[in-house]
Amino acid sequence: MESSKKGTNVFLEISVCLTGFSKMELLGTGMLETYYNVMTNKNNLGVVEAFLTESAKILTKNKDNKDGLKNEILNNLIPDSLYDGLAQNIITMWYMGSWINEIISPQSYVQGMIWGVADAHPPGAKQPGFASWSMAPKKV
Amino acid sequence: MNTPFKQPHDPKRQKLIPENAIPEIKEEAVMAVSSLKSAKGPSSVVFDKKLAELKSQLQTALELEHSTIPPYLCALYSIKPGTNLTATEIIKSVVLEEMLHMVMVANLLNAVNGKPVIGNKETGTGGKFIPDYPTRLPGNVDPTLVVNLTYFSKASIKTFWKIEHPEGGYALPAEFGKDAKAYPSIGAFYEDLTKNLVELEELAQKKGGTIFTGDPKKQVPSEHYYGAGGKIITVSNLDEAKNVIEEIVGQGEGTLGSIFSEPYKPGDPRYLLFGSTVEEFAHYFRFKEIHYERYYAPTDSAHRLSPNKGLPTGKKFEVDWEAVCKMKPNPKMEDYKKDSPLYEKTYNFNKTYSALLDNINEACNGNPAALKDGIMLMYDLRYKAVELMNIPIGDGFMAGPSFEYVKG
Amino acid sequence: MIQNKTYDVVIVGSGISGAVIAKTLTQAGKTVLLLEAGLTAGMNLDRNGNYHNYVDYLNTFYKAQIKVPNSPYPNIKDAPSINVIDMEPITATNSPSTVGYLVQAGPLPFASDCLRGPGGTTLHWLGSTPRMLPNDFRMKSLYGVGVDWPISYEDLMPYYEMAELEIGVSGDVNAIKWPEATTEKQQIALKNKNYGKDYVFPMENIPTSYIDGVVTGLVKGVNNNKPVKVNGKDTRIGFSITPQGRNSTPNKKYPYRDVIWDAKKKKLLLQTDKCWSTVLNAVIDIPKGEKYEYLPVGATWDPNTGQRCEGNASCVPICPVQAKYNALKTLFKSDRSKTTIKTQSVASRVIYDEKSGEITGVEYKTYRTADSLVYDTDIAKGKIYVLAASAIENAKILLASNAANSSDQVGRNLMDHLCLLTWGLLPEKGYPYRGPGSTTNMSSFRDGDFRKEHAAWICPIDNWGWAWPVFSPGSDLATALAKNIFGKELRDLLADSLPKQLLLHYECEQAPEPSNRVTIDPNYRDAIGNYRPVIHYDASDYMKKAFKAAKEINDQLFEAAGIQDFTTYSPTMAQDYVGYEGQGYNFWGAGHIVGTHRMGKSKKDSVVNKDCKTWDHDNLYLVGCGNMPTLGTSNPTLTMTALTFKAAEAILKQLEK
Repeated sequence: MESSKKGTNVFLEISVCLTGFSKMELLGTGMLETYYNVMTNKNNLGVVEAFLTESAKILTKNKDNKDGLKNEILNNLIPDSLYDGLAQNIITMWYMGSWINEIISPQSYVQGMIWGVADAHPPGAKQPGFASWSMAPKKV
Repeated sequence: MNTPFKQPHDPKRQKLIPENAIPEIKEEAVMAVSSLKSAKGPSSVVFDKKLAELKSQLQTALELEHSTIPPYLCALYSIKPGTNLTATEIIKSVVLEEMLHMVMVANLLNAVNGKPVIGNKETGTGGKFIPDYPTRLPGNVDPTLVVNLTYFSKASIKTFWKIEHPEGGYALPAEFGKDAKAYPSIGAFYEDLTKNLVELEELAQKKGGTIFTGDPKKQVPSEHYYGAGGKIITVSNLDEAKNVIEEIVGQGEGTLGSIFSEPYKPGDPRYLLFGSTVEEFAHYFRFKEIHYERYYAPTDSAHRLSPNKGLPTGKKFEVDWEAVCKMKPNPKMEDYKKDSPLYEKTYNFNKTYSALLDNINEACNGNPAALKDGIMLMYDLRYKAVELMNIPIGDGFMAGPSFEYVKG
Repeated sequence: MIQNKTYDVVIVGSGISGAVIAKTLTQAGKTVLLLEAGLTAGMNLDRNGNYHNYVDYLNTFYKAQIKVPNSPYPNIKDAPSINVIDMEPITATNSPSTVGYLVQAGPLPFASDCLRGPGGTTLHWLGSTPRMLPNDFRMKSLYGVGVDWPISYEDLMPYYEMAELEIGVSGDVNAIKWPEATTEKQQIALKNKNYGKDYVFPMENIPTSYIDGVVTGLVKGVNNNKPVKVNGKDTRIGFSITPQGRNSTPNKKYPYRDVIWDAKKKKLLLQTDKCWSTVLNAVIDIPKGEKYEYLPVGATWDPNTGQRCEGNASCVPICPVQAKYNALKTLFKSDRSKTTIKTQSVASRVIYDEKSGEITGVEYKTYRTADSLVYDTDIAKGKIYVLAASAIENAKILLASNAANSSDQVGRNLMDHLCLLTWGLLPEKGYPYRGPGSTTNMSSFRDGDFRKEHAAWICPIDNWGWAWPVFSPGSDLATALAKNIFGKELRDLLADSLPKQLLLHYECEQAPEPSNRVTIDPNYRDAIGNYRPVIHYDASDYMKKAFKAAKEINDQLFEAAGIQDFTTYSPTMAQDYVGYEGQGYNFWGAGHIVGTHRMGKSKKDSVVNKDCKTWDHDNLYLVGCGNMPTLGTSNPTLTMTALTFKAAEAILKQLEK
């Protein structure tokens, strides 16, 4: 229980760095627990643990060093050859709501972050209302 | 299912105003109106004062209709997506009708040449438009009731049916109504409002005038307000004004006040409200359905002394009371450190909410076409609220929308 | 026995053509039996059940990795649907391709789908409802291509108006630009001639997409500064706002309430003073002087839902609020006391008297549950029979019955719009992925003398980014990840590029070819023993020339407008790939499945007459897109619906003889 909570926290922190979204934005999807569980269930547990340990190490070490953080993530987490491609799969999960090529749940599709990045919304959900499409997207 | 809204003369429509409830006309008031045209004498002053009171009462009605929307929205948005389909549909239909009511009350206020104020009242002297939750209902309606911004639960549903409680359920304790007029229910509030409307219009008509002197261009028509809760009614005379109130009270409580005071007469068709051909029935009963996780059967009686005790006995539907984001009740921006991410997010929600109220205010004050933008804000409001409700803030609670007015 | 009751009319299929027949006939007092192959759940008449079933569709759509048109809807073994996922190029080793429901004999795969289920393909149609152009009805006499229709545009006009009411069309007749009009005066004259001086659609234009403004703005610059050259001639490109079957603001000038049978005049008429009351199940007279405003038709589970398009941007495959028309809206307006619906009932053949040709029954198989493969066979009886099962199914049923085919035209002349897609990045953000699939179309090349040489086309400005050809935005993410881009850089990159995506598609009108056809083969049957359609399909030079011409115009346009071209064609880009004059082109199916049992002037070369009645059987009517002799450049649903009203009128006349 305690270790899973710690794992979730590291997962969230590293997801912020991987995706470019803030903690609030990621939490706002309501998908954190689900995604953490998908990651642990779909992968070799040893690989997941090693990934999270490495992530925690990088995060702590580069707490005040933005460039260092970026470099270490790029070299030690991102390459597809490392940790069974976990880092890229996590990015895809947050952006698309899918694990590799499979949509996790109806809700994960609706919470895909890529649509907001495109100043749009997931087709068929979060509709913006009559005539919204005739003007540039509104930002409050 | 093909009738888009209940026709005004639909026999199934529930009557608010008993036919014999035409108010007595007081001598003093007749005198008041007889000098209406001269607009100088002391009696005209009395009439004007009464008209001003009516407008003020209509403004209160506006605030009353609005005050239930944030609590209903909190319950609605807290339901986890994809769960509780039936409960979601019921609450959604209720809240859409409340929004419709609000705009129809604005039409009514505009019809008597009043000026609806929606949203930022704080800068004026009239107090607040948005209640400070937890709150009592505006207009001294059922002062025993406290309404919270909180998540979907048996307790919140129970509060909702109390809000929509048909009149006559109980007498208000004596201490209420000492200082100002109090009403046991929303229905009673509107009954009083109707009485005042009828009285003033009769007076005005006696002198060949009318109180319905508002600019017809200020009415919000169906072209701009659609879909939500039924067809909007525009108001230019007493009949239409009564229609508006009938629609409001009919949708809300069903105002068979007599359900609760008359003795039960088996087989009385008036209490059979739930047949398959009934398009929709009052919010009060719809909330009961959620609470008891059952639809009303066509044979069910609304009377509490009936064999079904006024409760639903029809087909069961599933309610998952746990599939809910437990927002911390009655959140405020001041709960969070200024400029913290949660403060920002809550503030952001309030900005959308305030923009929405400002938009409705603009629409109800001469620019109904503005509602186009309001509808977009309404959707955005939901997505922002749901995001807040996904963010844990400790103690097993989630953040939530605070519904406070902020300057744009 | 109850199942042998004889109805006035037996209808096969509950899509838009079946629904229009059922509604029109029952409201005129006739009894109808409707056979529907799809699941009972999709025909739920109870409000809550209806809604819950629709939510199931929606969740299935959310969960689908590839969101193709049929992705939200059940595909049942007992009555399979065509699915574009099942298409593959046809080679020497896989011919015929049998991966999907269709048996594809080639040489090219037929890459369009339709839906077998309650409401039919209108559940996933886009909703564009342009009328055909008057010249489209005279292809042979004007351009020497294909055939002429047995009716003219003018003959069809009153029925177009009925169809526009039934579907609930939003649009502005003044915003439809006629290809041959070069002056404003000609434009107005053509509008008055082709729509009538005072005609309005039931609802005002759907607001046009932001991206339309960006694109038409760019093209205006091109027109003024460096117009595209077509055969060496400077050519200005014009646009129309597309009329569409989705709810918008009611037009206060629209006068009609309903289409109702006038028994005295023996005509279907648009009515201003009568309407059908679903409460009373009767035609009622409107009190004189009662104010009327068209009321948009909302969702089948709640009339207040879907009163306006809400911008879900998912018209294909599913409108979550049913602001877009679907056939169940029409079907639910039938007189229910006169309508019997049998679901999970798949028609397999019509039975007729060899001597008189009279149809005596429709044989159908009712399966117990989805995929159960257990079924009962029965015969439905009526005075008149109507096949409304889609162009491909209608042809298949007729071939299986050896019926209506004295002309040897059944199954032939299968057509579609062949879509040449082009995509690029706009010089500024156009913000696609929002709103209806398309609201504006390039209309200049819908007609002209060039039709003697190559196909005409309509070119909608699409609103779904590059999703169609390359599966954006997922593919854009994958491309960035392959370059190890992550974090804020990734987000910024996508935020900059996705809103600039532009997609156009040139929908080229396929000419009728007898060799493009549906056949049957006893070797290919479905799980309950019905035939699977065998498709023979190719693209002629008339089509390939159009690809070349369209691409040349597109290339000039992109270049002059500063649109960065990303279009690539290859054998792996899409299933259909053809070469022409040293260039390769991909084309995509439009889902406009047309032809297969065309109408004509003579029983020698057509299957039905101008009333959609088969030449060979006095009591058998065919409705749907199969009747269309040529396709034009319009999405076919509106024209097909107009023809169906014409057929309904003819059926009523025949019944009341």
